[in-house]
Amino acid sequence: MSKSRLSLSRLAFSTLANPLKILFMQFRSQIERYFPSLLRGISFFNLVFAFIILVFIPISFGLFAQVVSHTKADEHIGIPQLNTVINALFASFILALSSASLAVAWGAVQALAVRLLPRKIGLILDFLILSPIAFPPVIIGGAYHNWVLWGEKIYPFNLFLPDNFFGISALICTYTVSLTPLNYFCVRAMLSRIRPELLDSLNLLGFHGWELFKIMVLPRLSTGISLGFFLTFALVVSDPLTPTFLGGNTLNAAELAWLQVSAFGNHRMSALLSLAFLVPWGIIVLVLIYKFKRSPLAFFSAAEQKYQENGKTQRRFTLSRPVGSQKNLFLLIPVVFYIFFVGFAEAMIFTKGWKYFHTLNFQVIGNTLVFALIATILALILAFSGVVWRKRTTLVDLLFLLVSFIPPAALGGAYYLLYGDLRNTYTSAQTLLIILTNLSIAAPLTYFSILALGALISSSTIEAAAVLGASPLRIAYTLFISQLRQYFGLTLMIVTIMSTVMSAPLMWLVNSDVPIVLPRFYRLLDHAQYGPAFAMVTVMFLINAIFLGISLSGLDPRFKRGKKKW
Amino acid sequence: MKNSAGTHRRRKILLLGIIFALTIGGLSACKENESGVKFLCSEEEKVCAKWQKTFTAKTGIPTSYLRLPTAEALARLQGESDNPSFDLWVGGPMENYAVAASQGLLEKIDAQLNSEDIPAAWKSEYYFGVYASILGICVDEQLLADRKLALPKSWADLAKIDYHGQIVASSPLTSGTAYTLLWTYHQLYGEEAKNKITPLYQNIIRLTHSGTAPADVVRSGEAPIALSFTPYCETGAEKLKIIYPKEGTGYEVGAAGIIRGAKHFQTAKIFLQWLLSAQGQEIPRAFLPQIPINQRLPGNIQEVLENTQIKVISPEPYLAAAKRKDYLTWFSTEIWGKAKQDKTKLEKAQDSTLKTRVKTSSPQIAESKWGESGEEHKVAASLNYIQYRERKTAPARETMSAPAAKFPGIVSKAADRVGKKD
Repeated sequence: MSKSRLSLSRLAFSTLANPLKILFMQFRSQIERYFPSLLRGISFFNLVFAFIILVFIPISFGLFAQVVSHTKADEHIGIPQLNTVINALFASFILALSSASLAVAWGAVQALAVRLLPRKIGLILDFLILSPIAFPPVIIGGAYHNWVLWGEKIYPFNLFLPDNFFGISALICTYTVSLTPLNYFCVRAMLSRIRPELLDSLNLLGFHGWELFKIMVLPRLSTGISLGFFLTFALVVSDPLTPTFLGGNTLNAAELAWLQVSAFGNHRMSALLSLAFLVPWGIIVLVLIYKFKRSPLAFFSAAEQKYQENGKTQRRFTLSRPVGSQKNLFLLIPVVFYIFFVGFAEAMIFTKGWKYFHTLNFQVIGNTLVFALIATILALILAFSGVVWRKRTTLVDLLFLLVSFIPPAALGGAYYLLYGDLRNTYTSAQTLLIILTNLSIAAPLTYFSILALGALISSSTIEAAAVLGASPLRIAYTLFISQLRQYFGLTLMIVTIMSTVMSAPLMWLVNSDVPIVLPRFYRLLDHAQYGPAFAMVTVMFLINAIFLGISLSGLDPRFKRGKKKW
Repeated sequence: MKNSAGTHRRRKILLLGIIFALTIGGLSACKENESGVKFLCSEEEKVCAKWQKTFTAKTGIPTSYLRLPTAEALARLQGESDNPSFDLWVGGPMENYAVAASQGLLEKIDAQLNSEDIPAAWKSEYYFGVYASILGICVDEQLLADRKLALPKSWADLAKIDYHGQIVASSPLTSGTAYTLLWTYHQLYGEEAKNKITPLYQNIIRLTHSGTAPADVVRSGEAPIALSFTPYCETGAEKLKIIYPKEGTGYEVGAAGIIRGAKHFQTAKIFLQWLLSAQGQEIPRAFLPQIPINQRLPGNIQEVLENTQIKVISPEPYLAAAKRKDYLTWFSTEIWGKAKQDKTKLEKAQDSTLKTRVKTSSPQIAESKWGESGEEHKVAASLNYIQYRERKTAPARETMSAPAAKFPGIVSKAADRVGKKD
């Protein structure tokens, strides 16, 4: 009896399941057939949607609408006069120009110099030179400030040290040291495109020294320099926190714009200042479009090349021999100086921070990581959407490039004016706003980092899989999963660093008591609580170092050899 | 092989578990209390937290708060006036409440709340006083001695070139404490206040956002002198020496009021009622030596002012509120908007001005020139000018610094007085 019931139920199940299974198979075959088009369609939708939400609507409806609309601006307290605004903008642009020029020069020289060294030493120097990027500029400045305070009390040092680490020179020093790694990375990524075999060919053709440098290195160097310069300029001009704590009475436009929303509630002035930030961005846009018309942007088209060495395939992250420049060891002097300066700052941060480890609020760190994790997933989706479309057009490059150059302070003003009311109507909307701000900064950087470090799956592998009969869906799945695994650590590191380092646009949108890292820094530093701030940044640095390890272990096969992955 | 695959799977499960736990933990930590009373708090963080905990424990009403400096809190209220996310505003000098009330940001308080326990000077139909603190100069004596500087005894001392780069204060653009300082100068010097305070601002090395921060900055060893309400200097890891300027000083009356459009109006009233009580008013005194306003409590502000030897000036919140925009606009343009001058430049400017004085045959002519030429503002920025002005105006100022016991009944006559003064 029970046996017949069982067989009946099996029959009923198979009767129902088989048509479903057939339907699923048909659906799957259709998906596989149209997958490439579907993928491109979804990617296109992702890019357009993200651009509209992150840039277009905030700037057009947030800023322009606020400027043209009638508001009772005169009723607000503390409205600066026009000359104050102009002075602030002028002072900020001069600060950004000088800091970006110094940072780009120092970064470029170091990028050239490190290429002279053997790979292993180069990797260590990469880590040392890139490490300050994980610290907010205000923390680096705080470290120097503490050194000056310490040195004032000790005899020979007090003869050389200034009275205090405040003012315009302190700001330029802080930004230069903090943002040199960004320029170093940009130039390094560009220089890594130079293929050794091409240099050999040019050598054989009789090109040496300056000629070789001019033909091979200079074009890549100039691209890396311009990219780094624009990024540094956008970051310096948008930072309200560092000038607040280290600038003394030095006027700063980002601080002024931030105070318009945080202290004055003056929306119209905030919108006007945000638009003023977009003026240099507009110039950059015109330059890029002009350049784009002349020759398509191929900034990041070449992936890091693999090459054979001692019969083994190596991924060339640093070169084992000098490329495009003579073995001039004087080039190493800026590297030594930079590591010396960075070492001073990091030593202060780690030694002082360690003593305050017990004051750490792990909820703050945990929240920052969770928001970074969510933003990472979204940034990866956007970056891969760009990569999918990139084969057809370099317009995607241009789009990401333009978004990355928008001063975050302008985005902060735009987000505040468009989305700021959300936090009033529903307080948990702050979570969404935090993720939005993380994403706006991290998505372009993730895209460029992925392109700069290159695709790990070669086109020949994909072709081989297709020849063996794998469906496009299967290939895409394999590609996506493997890429995701490789880049997850890298993207997570980028997003976490950005959410720790970039005060704009985040500070425009969050309350000062939101338990995440940046507002906590702001409160601690306002009260000169350097120790707890250093402790927090030390922990964030260690976490980022772990993410860096994860990404390097995925990106560089060298780490996978032997018993230990490290 | 199988073992390795199992280990790999376990690692994956562990990793996923950690991510899941972090996500749940983080999001739940960020979840804000959507029900109950929500108040903006412009007091010291510890006091805000204690108010919240004690009130919830006593009444069972869930409470949450956001701590913002006074000026930022006021800006927040202005920004979200159509749809306020808070029910109450507690803490911060009373003149800011007067500004909020004049802009229609506060609800009227019932007669029941308009308690007789609060002196008439410190209540209105929109808000009432909860605590008071006196403005003073907080000094790290050791650091001052290391820098070979004498203890400042007056506001005039602080304007001397010797103290260049030695003072920390808060910014009036964000902090109510800083505006109390500006207003104190106004009460001491009238329309001369801006000229008088400019050299002091030139000596300030750092303007903090929060009024409670300068004392912490001094404790960290960045500078030896802080301008702040004295309770913030008396607590903390290192107690600072407090000096009350001999010219006289102001004080704040921290207030509380219900925000117009509050979503939890009835519970907000219960909270205010509780703030009037001994328990609510004693909490600031328990953490900081702030003075309660409730005149039934021992050591309340009336008693303190009647018995103190300190020359204290009544803050007159209505007048302070009326002048606030003028002073903040001046500050943002003339002080904050000007690059900091270094000490050498200031000393050179001082030398050249002193030479001009020596060349002038009659001191009286020089004085009249300074007073009438309109150049005072420029001179004040670079000169040790306060001492000169002191000699010139000393008798008049004695009458301006009102004795502490004489509280004017400013509430009823406030509008008239604003008109007369301005």
